Amino acid sequence: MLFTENGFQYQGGVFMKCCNPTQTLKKENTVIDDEAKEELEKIVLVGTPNVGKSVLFNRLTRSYVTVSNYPGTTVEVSRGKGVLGDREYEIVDTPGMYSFMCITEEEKVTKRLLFNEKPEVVLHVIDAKNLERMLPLTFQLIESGLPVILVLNIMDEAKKLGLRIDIKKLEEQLSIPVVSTTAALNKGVDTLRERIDKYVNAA
Amino acid sequence: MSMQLSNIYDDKIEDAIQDIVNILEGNYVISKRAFSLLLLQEDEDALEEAKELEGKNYLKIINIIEETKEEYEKPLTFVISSYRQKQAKIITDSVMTKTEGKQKSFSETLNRIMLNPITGIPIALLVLYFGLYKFVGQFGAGVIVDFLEGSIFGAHINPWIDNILNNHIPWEWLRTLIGGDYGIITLGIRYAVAIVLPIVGTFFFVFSIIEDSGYLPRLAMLVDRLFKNIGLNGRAVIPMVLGFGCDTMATMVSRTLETERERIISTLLLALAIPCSAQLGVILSLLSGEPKALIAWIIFISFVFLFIGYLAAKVLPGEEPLFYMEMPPLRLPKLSNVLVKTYTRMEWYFAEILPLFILISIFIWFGNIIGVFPKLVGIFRPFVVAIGLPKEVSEVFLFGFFRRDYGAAGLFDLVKEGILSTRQLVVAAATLTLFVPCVAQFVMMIKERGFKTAIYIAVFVLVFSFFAGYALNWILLATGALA
Amino acid sequence: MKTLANLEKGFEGTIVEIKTDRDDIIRKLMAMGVFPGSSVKVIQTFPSYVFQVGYTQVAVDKEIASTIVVE
Repeated sequence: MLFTENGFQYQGGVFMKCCNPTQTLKKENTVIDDEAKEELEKIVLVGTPNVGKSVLFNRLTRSYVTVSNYPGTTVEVSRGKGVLGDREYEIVDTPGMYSFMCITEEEKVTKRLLFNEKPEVVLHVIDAKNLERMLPLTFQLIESGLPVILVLNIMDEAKKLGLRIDIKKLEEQLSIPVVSTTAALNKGVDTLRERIDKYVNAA
Repeated sequence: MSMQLSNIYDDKIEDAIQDIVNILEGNYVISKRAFSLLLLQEDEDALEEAKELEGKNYLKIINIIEETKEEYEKPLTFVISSYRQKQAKIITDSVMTKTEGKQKSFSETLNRIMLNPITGIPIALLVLYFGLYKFVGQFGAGVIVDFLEGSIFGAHINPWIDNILNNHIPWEWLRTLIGGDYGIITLGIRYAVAIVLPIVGTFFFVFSIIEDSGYLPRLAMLVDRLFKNIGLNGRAVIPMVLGFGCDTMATMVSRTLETERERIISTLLLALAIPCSAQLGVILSLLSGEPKALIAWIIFISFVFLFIGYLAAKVLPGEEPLFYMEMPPLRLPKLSNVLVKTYTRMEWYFAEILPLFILISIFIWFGNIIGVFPKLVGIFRPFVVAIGLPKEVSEVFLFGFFRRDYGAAGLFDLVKEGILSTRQLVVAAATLTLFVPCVAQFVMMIKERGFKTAIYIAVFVLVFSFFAGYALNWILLATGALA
Repeated sequence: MKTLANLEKGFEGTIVEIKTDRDDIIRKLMAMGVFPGSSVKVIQTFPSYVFQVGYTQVAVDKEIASTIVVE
């Protein structure tokens, strides 16, 4: 069910680039279908549960086009459309994921989605105060060669705890763009849009 | 890659990565370095694909993995993750500074109160009482349903439809299809819009608030010990609470439980002992006039839930589940988010049930025409009478076969007509609660658990509900508890 | 040997080791940021164990709690 939504069909293995000869025909059909339906570049949101991913997704998509998720039990993949700069994107919210070494079915779904849908940008959304705990997934995303932007969300809670993060320095150390937001209060979301747009155009 | 990320791991692991990268010939979507790291950690998916794409070299890769493993005491996943964590700490320490913040916030105090069972359990009961009983049961199923059912449909729409039909439609079959007792509009749409929608809507509203506040993980922590006895862990509280909203949705969500054993047990318990909000709303409003009846019903259903869960855990093989859960901070839910969620869920739900209700109306209409309906009711009748209920209730059970709430709503009509005694009301409500899952839930059970398991569960529930109803009736008669 | 399973509420210390052969327990704890060297604070011990590592609070059952060695 998850995998047939919006024309996205899971074919072949997780890491395979080339299609298996026996699946070539089937795969070609899917691609044609996909192109007819979807020509938009994708922006994929990943992160652990409870980091405000869904709220950020809603901010970016403006119109709410999704199936509901439950905390810790996000089963469905939500997809919506959003305009950034002068382009329209398909924005994808994935089930919660802690690590590439999957424990749950949802993590496997997210892994497949990340590797098979060729996202233009991957937003790794984290809870800013838990930076230390959540960076390992950022490393894994970077190692894989994915186009990652790190989003330090829920900045308000981190500030309340007296935490300050040197964003510039973090960007230098990771060599990827880092943006801080408080999606629930719509803070930093415009900056994030600009950074995504810039990132895509630079690529 | 930045300097900080190219020297995360030690030389032995870096060498192993390099060795594997040099061997890899397949074309992978992720970098060979990342793929090698997954192989070293023996990720199932990665191993499988390497086996498929690397042919003879696969064994060489396995050798490298085995050799590297021997260098460490701990599993490589642990070693690699530890290095990443160490690097994360170095980076975090260099970019994050802490000035004084509020030491103990109000939300942390509230957190402690919720986690302590002495205060936490009363809070959980209060949440259920106000959230489910007061808001969903009395406000949703009472005030709103009365208004929509009585003032809108009963007083205006139904008479208006019947009037139009009687004046303009000469064919009896078409009149009964659209209006009358079992018509698409007068029964199907009325039940869906006036009875089910307000109840489900109020439930989803409460659930979204509970969900957004971060209360669910706290509830999971409180019930974990109890749930271990029925083969589940605290995590299962999410599908269970959701079941009070919609068992179909909850059955789907039970796929997030870790083991097949937990999924089967929760699917069984959802089908058997968790009334969905539509059913719950109607039953609560039916029983709320008789506090004793309500208590008897709650005790009986809770007993069945725990007893069958306990037996299922004994019978089904498999490992005991582990419980671990992150506790997000308590947050004040934002009304706009809650409303958006409630709305999307209602939209989803309504799109799901409206066609079904219309279909059921058509089915009943068709059944009436070809006369199969009385026959089916006839099949139920001896069982219904055996558990001490008036034979009119058979019809309600047939409704319940199509949709739980549909059946419960039918019970509503019978009570209004004054056909049931208090004891009979409890027995009917209890049996109907346990009785077969609705069509939608059954379809979801097949989809999630497979045809065989779904059939086993459905047959068990069907037989057990009448058996339990019989036992309950006998207990109530013997003790004279509700005489 | 002290593990999280036999500590009092309010205890503060450091995690020394995760003592288990079970890969699934190790993975789960790592996913939540529980590593040797992290400082830990016990918040609740009944009906389940709740402890804080960094800015994260984690609830676990007795079986998992008894694998976390602290000092």
